[in-house]
Amino acid sequence: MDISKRHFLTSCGTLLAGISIYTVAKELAQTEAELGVDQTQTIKYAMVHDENLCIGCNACEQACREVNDVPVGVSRVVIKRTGPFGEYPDQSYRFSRLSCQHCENAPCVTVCPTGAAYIDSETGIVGVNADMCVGCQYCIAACPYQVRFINPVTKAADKCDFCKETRLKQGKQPACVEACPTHALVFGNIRDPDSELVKTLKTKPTYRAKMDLGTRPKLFHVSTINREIVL
Amino acid sequence: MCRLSRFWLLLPSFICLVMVGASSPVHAQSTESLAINQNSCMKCHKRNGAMLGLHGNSALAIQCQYCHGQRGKHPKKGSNIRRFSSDSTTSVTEQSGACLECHDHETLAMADWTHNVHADRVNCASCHQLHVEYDPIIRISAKERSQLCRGCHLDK
Repeated sequence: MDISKRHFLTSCGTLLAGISIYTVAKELAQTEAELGVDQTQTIKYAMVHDENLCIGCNACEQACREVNDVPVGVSRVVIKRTGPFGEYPDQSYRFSRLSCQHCENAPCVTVCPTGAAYIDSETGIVGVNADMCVGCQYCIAACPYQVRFINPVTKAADKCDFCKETRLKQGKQPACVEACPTHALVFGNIRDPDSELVKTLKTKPTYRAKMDLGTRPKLFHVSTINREIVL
Repeated sequence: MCRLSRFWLLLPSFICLVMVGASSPVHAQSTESLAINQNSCMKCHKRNGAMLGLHGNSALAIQCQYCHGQRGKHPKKGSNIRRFSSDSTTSVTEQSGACLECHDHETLAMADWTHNVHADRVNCASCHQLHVEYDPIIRISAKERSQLCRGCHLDK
């Protein structure tokens, strides 16, 4: 059988194209499977921060510090204040909560080389196993929300865990939620249609930070609606 | 023996003298000598206590009238004397207006951002005390501060 040069090259090209299409298709199929929301999980905790109700009193930060033994100098939750907007004496400020967003597709968990960062399969909470953490700080670099820090006492990566180890274990709401005087924070199970959280999400327009990164965060914000539009 | 007993008698009295002297020599002197406390208002208002705070500093030469307004026909008839408290008949704008005569709102904003949001809504005396020696709110802890916010902002 005589194989011409042209015939040989065409066959090789077809083979290469076939292999590359197969690998790309396989990867796409995998990511789609990962993105498919696991409907069997009955508890998936989330939080809403209503920026209209927040007064910037910092009670949440102090309560968190007390309950979770957060050392001075670092914080699991920060209320970022911007402003003032408007002219004196009619001025206002905006408040935004900076804390772990408990991403469904968490970059910190993906990069962790030791498996210390994990997504709790029962609650959907992103946690840190301090005993397994080696302090490499990959997670700190990977987190697009910049909420992770090295705890100066434990020397392990630390961040908000919705009080998983403290308040939730006692069957209580997270410390920040209970401390908030204006009820700006709502915490609950996103899978429970009767929960206050789901009701809030259905009645108030919310946004989530950096959605375009595909992290699918579970910290929702009710945007400030009064005053001027800030670009 | 005699010398020793005299020593034991003198020592406690000496200690007492030192203690009394050290307790607050400046305070004891200044309260009496402050110009503001020589004001004619003090003839009747002694029971309200003397002016001890920074505003009583003689160098500032502040008189009661500067903040509380002219006495007019007080106390015989009704007057427009300003009273600084949350349940006062003096309006919030007038109360804070008296403070803003000297205190620049931008400087206040630099000291604490909450001045801006409460500007024409809450009177200064709701958080500040001026007649006492040190305004307690100046050295308030972060926790006390958020509890203070809670006092008014609590969602029942």
